[in-house]
Amino acid sequence: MNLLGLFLIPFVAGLLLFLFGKQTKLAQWANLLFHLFWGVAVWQCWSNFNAEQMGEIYWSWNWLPMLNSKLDLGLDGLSMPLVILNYVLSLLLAFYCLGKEKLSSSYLALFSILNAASIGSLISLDAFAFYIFWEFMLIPMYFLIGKWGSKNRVYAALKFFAFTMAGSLLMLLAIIALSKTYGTLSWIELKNAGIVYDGLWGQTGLIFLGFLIAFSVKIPIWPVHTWLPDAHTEAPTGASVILAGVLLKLGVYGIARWCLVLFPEASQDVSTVMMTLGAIGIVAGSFAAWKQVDIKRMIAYSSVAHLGFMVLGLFALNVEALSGAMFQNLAHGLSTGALFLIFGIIYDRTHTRKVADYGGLASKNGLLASAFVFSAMASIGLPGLPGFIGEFLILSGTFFTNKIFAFVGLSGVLLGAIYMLGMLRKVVFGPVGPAVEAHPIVLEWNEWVAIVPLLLLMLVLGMGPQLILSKSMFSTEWIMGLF
Amino acid sequence: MNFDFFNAGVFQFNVEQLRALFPFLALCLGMVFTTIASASKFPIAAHKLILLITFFAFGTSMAVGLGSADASLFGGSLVVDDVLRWVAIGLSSLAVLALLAVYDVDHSEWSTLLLVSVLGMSLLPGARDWICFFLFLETMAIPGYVMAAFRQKRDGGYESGLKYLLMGAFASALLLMGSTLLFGATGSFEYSTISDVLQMGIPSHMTIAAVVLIVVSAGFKVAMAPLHMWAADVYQSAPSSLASFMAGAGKLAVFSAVSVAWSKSGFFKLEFVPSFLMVLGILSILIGNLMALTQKSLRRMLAYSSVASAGYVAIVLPVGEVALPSIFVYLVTYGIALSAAFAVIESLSVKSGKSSSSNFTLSDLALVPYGKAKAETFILTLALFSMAGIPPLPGFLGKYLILSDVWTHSPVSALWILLGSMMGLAYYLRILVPLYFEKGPSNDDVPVKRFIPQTVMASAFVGATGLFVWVWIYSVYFVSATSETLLGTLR
Amino acid sequence: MDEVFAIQNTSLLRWIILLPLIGAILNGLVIRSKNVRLSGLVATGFSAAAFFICLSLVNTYGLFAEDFAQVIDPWFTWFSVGRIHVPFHLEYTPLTGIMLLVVTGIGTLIHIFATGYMSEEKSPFRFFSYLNLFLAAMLVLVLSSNLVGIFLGWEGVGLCSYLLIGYWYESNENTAAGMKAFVTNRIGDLGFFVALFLLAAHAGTFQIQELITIFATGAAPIEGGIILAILACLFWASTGKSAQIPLYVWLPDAMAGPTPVSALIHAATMVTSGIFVSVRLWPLFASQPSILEWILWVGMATAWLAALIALTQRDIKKVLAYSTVSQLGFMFVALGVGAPVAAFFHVVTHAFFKALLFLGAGSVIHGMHHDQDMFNMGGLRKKMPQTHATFLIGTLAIIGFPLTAGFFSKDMILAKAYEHGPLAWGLLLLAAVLTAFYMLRAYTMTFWGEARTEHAKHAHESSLWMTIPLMLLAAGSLIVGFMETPPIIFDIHALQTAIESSWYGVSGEIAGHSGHHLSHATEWVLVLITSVASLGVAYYSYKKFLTVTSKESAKGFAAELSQNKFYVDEGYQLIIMKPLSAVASASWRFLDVVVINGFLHIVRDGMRIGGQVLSFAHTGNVQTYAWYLAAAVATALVFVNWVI
Repeated sequence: MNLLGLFLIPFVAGLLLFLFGKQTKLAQWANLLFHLFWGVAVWQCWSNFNAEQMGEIYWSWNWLPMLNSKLDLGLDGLSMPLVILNYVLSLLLAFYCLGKEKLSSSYLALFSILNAASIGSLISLDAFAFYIFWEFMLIPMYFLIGKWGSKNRVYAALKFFAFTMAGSLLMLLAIIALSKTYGTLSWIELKNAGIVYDGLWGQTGLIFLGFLIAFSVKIPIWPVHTWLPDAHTEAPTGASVILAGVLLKLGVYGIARWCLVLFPEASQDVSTVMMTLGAIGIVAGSFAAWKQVDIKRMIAYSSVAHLGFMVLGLFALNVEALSGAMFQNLAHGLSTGALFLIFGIIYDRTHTRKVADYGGLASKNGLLASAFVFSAMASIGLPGLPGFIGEFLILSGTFFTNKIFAFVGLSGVLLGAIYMLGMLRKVVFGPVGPAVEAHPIVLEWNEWVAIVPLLLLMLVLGMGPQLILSKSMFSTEWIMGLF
Repeated sequence: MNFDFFNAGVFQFNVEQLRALFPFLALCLGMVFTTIASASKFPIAAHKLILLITFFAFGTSMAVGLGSADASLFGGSLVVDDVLRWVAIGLSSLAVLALLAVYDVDHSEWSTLLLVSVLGMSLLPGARDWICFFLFLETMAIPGYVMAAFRQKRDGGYESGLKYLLMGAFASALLLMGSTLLFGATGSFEYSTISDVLQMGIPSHMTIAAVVLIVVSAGFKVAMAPLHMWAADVYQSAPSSLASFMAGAGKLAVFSAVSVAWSKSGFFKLEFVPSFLMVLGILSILIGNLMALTQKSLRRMLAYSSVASAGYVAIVLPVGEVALPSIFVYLVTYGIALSAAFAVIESLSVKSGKSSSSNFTLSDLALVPYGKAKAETFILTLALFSMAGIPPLPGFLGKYLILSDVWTHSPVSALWILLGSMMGLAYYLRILVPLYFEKGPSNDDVPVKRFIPQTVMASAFVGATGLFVWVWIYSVYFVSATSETLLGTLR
Repeated sequence: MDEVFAIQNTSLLRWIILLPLIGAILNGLVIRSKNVRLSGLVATGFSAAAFFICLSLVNTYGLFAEDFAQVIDPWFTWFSVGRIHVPFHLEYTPLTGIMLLVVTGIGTLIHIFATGYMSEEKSPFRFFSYLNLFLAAMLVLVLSSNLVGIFLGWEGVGLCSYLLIGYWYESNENTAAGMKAFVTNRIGDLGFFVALFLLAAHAGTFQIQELITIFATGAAPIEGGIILAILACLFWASTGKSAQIPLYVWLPDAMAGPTPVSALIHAATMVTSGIFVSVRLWPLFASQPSILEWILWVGMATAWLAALIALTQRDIKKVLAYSTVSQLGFMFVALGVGAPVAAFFHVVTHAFFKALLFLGAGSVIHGMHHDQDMFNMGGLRKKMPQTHATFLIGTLAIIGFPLTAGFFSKDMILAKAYEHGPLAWGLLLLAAVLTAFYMLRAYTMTFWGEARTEHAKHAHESSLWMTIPLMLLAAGSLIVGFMETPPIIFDIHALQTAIESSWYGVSGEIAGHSGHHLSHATEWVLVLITSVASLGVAYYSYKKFLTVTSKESAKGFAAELSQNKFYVDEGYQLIIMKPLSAVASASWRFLDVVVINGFLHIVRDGMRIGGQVLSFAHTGNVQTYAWYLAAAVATALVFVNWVI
């Protein structure tokens, strides 16, 4: 399978899209075309994907021998689902963009490059290459937030950049240490290098912490989460969707791929601390979400809570929880992505995020309202929708390890219902609010094309989670085999 | 240096030595031509052509020589080895950038001066005793003083030139004093002898004083805090092309030379030198970044950022010659980014109708007519991200190499570099804000667009492409090459 | 009846669920017709189809078969990871069969009624698609062979109830009621979650059949404590879904929804699912007598509290709502005294007469132009004869008039309670008497006396769409009682055999329970006491409220207390919601805004200030620079020479 194309296509597409200049409409359609090409590559990977392997390298280029770094590309149960998610979201956004004057060719170009970077960091099995893609994601995101964001965008963009950079610099140091100590940066070689663990404050421990902190900032784990609400709130719709759908997931993915596999003992040592932070994240995030008056902010904080669940799942250290976390990645990506997308579409018309300005959406556009309610239900983990599978697996896995954390997580399940339904009450139902009154909320065909597949996917994954679980099963069991 | 120097034998070169010297002859030839050209009032373009050819000849001949045996000249006072050759290649590429960007210099002598300065720079890493070191350093520096004063008609060209001169004189005096003290202490100017002497027994106060003076003088030349004061003023008001050249190339030459000289004469074996450098480095990182944060004028900001970058290198210096590749890559990438940034600032200041780029401030960036400076902003973005060390831009490679060398030497001090690049991020990103995130004046109230020489943009473009493609490929293979040859020579 | 037979009928079970689902999709997404008749008929059609499939099932596998083999529809594997294996299998047992008939049968009638009731709706298709969706979810709950599947239905019906309570979403009260219902149920569902976790951790299966055959029989060694915990959690969940203390508060508010919804969801089907699940798992409960005591007294308390509140309500639907809570209390009491059959019997009969009463109330409200205050009614028996007649039958059934459905089931519960102990019996009898009082009060104030308002004067009988379902339900409320009768009358035990044959051959006998039975004499005495007491009170209440005026309202402390629902909602607000909300906003404002962001901003500004301070040193004056340089050299020399 052609992994090179998987990230080269969007990258080249991005460079080409820059050339369209003022031809926004043309660029938008071209972007769709690029997605078709990219889709071929993705489909190819999906169709001859082999779930029964871990860290197998399909393409390799010895590009930096002096830095012990090879550009190793591989695809396994950890990365595959996220690659698909990334592609799907990006494709739907490509539809959403059509006919939006503001989303110029450079916006699309940056987006495409962002995709290239995120895919790259998903499929590269070499620490150095991974880091390059990982960091590279910051640049397009910085511009997407800063240029196309709303009022407070500059602050948000800088905050996002600074936070993530601060985290990843420590990871950089960790990577250097790895390469100096073990003479290789290839994931699989490092795994076989027999890394000796000498306590959390020993060298290995510190290397582990370097990775862990970088990923924790990205996820983001409480208390390094405060960049997320700002970034989410200020970012343009598309960026919010990708941020929630892909970028945050990379943190979870990173922990599973780099921390759990390379440093099992260390992960064991920090598991209680991390689970505590995850639990705090769930509660604090839900509380904060409950008290927001800004809809996007509220959704952002709900993300903080959901990612708290994933942290629990990662560090409960058993197959159920880990698979749950990996599945929750998809579930949250779809549901929160849908929420951001739908609200973004409303926002395009009303230009306000204040809850107070809304209400009675249902009487204005019933179908859109239903879609909104549907996504909200998915996000609070209603059985039959994917969120439930994720939360159920995570929490039962957590329950096996530590009952207390499972109970705290459950409180998140309850609070989730409180803030989400509270939001629905004020936005979707109730008497018609000023913003909804003032603007006609009628969707273009392409906006429907962007929303509907998300909802269908949620249904499919909610009732047929095995589709994905069977793909990632081998990997999760393989990882847990290390403990 | 020994008395054989005056024996005629020293001046009889064999073929290898001649071949080793050839590139420098090319430079000297270039000087002759440029002098004639300025004497016969040739236009600026002619000078540029001559320089272009010269630097090309110089660089390629150096590249051809790569890997061939080290040639020891003048009784071992000058050794032409791969380090020197690589540095020379780096210098000539930086010089090309600089000369492309030259457009508002009132005097035609700049071309000759540039060549002389490059000659000094490229010889510097080859010096094997302190006299040669001093000679080459002055050869590099004196033209610099003149060039700094070139824009006397505008915004304190004289003043900056004079400052540079005075401070430089002071520093040279320190260096001279240091080396004589060293001679007094060890009875020799040669690195190797000095190193042997320093090996045995506790160093005398005199030795220590000597080393301190030498280190301080070097610290001045590369603008390490607290010896950096002149830098901001000079980089702000000298002709931007030459300023960026002195900042980028100057650092490259001095740092690589210093690394060679100090490790060969065993300074790093004195336990106080690393800690002393550490202090200087940390000071530079903190002061440089903090100052850059508060600057309004972009050129001052970049000047202070280069102070900080000197700090990073200072921290890696004690690692010794092993760190040369990292220092080289870091400084070359930094130099390219810096020249590109300076060129862009020049052209932006023109486009936004400012009289000169010296006082071109952050807020002036908002005056840049919206959508009228796409290329510039793009290049500036690349340059800034490279300086901030964000992958895939090559500045990251430099940072990575430096960090990894520091890591092996003293992991903790790596944290200072991390802190520094965090602080750096703050102001690098701030420059982009008005360019991209705030809508500039709409196209109808565009100020009168003065003629801006294509060459400025050309240099910026070369810089940009250099940053994007060239440096990666080049430095990757460079790193392998030099480190192999180096490790070869070191063992 | 063997596996082969079961397998060839697999597809049938899934269609029971799929049909209403298809109906929901058609109505909600495809047809979206504003024509109430069309969408109503579509919905009715699909639920009727489901009903007929159930009939054919019952016909194939029988309800009251003595020896019963499992019938499974192995549909697909839902999810399966590590220790957690959840197949999505459907299962038919006689118990399920009865529940299926009740749900689809009464469901269909209510669909028909709604087609008439919702006639002046803007978007009826939404209503009917929700209604079908509810049926589908409820049927998942009934049919699923494992507890996770049941949980899917459990929360699914919760969702539909949320949507239907808030169906008239323009008014904030309705949406608030909907949200209250959902959140309160979620509180209960946390218990369900924990039960599932415990099962995953200790039992390794969610299959009801395996649970019963392995753990109720003690075949597999597992500490009683665990099973007890699981059952406690499930009971907690039931207090949410089946509206028991302390989580009953949502049900009265749920009356904000359209009346057919109250009839279907909040009287006949959904609210009884707690009891249904308990009966399905009965052998487990039987193996843990200690939990039964809890269930008994919680049920008793609920039966009392709700009855007391019902005494003074003005809103007819509120009366019925509280009576539902109280009746559910009866059912839990039955479980508590170890009589699952009685409990489920009451579920069935209650489904009929409570649906009947609600629909009757709906018809009245329809006639009264959506005025629900009984004090504004009166004298409707002439205006709405069919409604009156059927409502009367419903009332008689619920107060246990001899030989009505309610009589048999309630009598059975009381008998079992008496077996358990006189105290339980006495209290429960008084609760039954209270029922008689408030039901007659409602009935009399609505249909007798003089019309007290204009609306009442011009009330009109509802269309056949509504009255026919009423009549059918009335017939039901009269006859369904005869499926299980005490030894002294006919002595039929069909229901008992059905239920007991649904426990995979495991006996439902309570551990260490003396299986002594009442003598016929005692039975007669009990029956007489019950009937006389209820009927007497009923007559008294009829007399009392015959001449009531619309001005009249509660007097005296006790009445105040009862009318204000004992201030339970206010209490919950004060003790739980307000503090929680305060903590929430405090945690956000303090942790995120003050501490974390505050720290960041301090760092940022600190760097700026540091820079400004430093820049004082940069005078731009060359003499100063020279001084710095000299000073630097000097300090360096001193430092290096004499300090190091």
